[in-house]
Amino acid sequence: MIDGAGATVSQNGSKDLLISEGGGDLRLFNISFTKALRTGITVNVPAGNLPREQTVLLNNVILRDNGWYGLHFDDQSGGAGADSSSSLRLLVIDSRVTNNNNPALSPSSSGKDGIRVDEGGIGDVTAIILRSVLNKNAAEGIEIDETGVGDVVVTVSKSSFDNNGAQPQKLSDPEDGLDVDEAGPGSIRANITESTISANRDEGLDLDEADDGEIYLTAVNVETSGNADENIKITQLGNGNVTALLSAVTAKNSKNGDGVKLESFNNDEDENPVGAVFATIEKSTLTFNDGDDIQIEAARGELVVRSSAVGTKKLSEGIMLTIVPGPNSGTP
Amino acid sequence: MISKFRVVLLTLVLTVSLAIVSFSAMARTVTVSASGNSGSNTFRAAIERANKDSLVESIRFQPGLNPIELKTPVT
Repeated sequence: MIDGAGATVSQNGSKDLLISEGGGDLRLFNISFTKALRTGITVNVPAGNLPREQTVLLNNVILRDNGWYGLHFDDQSGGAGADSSSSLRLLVIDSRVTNNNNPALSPSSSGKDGIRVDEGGIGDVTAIILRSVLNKNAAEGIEIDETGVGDVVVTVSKSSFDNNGAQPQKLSDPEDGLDVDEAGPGSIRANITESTISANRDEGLDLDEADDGEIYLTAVNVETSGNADENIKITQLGNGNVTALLSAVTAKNSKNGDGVKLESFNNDEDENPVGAVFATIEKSTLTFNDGDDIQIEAARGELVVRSSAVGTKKLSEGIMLTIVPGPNSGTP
Repeated sequence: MISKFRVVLLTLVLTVSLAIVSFSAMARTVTVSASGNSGSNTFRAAIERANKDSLVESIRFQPGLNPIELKTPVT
């Protein structure tokens, strides 16, 4: 446990600031890591006899203006990690992760997120983000990349993922606010409440699951508007379905994509959806998006719209639509 | 019989309690009180000590330290 008592750690020539490679838990309180030429905090998960779960806790921590990542928690052999059999647990509480992949410090290196979690081999990722700000990072606010066998469970409350992904280092490849990529056997479960995911330069919330596995999303009281591509995009490839509940969600004014897009295909090349999508939208507003306000591509499933204002709907043939009128219902 | 059981239970509880107290007493905290890149009482020195001494469980910074500017990473 490290309690910084409000201290700031910066660089005077050092590329990285804090590097942890021993495999133990890292718990940080009341400390800032800023202006690294590369990464603020690097946690490389080694091979060998690790605990079943390795934890990184940021509590009242600031990661700001670093050239690459604010935090890179790496268990993938493609990076510095080891594809270990350990699961990764990330806790971000009352913390600020802003202006990382800062082009002033890193003018030619793109794709370095505010927080990046790379999990390889067997093992899950559990990420809990409470009362935190992940804004204005040049790449993604947070990206979780899970490969091999394992699930991703993300819980977000009272947090923001806004204005990320401008990528001045690579304007052709803007990035998302909150991005989860899960490949290999395993599912994604995302539970997001009382948060904003807006004005990001690609998608706002982007959940991608490949191979066997499901995607479950529960979003309650979430504002996701003005993102450049879809405000919410969920893509399931391979065997599996998508189940989504959007309650009190606002998804408006996407600039080049749909408001909400939910899809299930066999693979990237497939044009015929195979899985099912079951979505419920209640007390929500999905309007004035550049594309459709909601689009569902799946072989079967159901969309229930209850007491909501939803503009254009584009649904595959196998999707049953049920509209339950209520006080907020209506089409603009 | 009940009395003997209680004595055994009490002994067990006391033994475990003493073990916990002893372990807590051994757990060490290292204080960071200097803001230099390296040297005594710096962040780097604290991490180096924690890496060598498994009894070090926490590193605490002294409040009010000047910003720490690193020339090389702390590992």
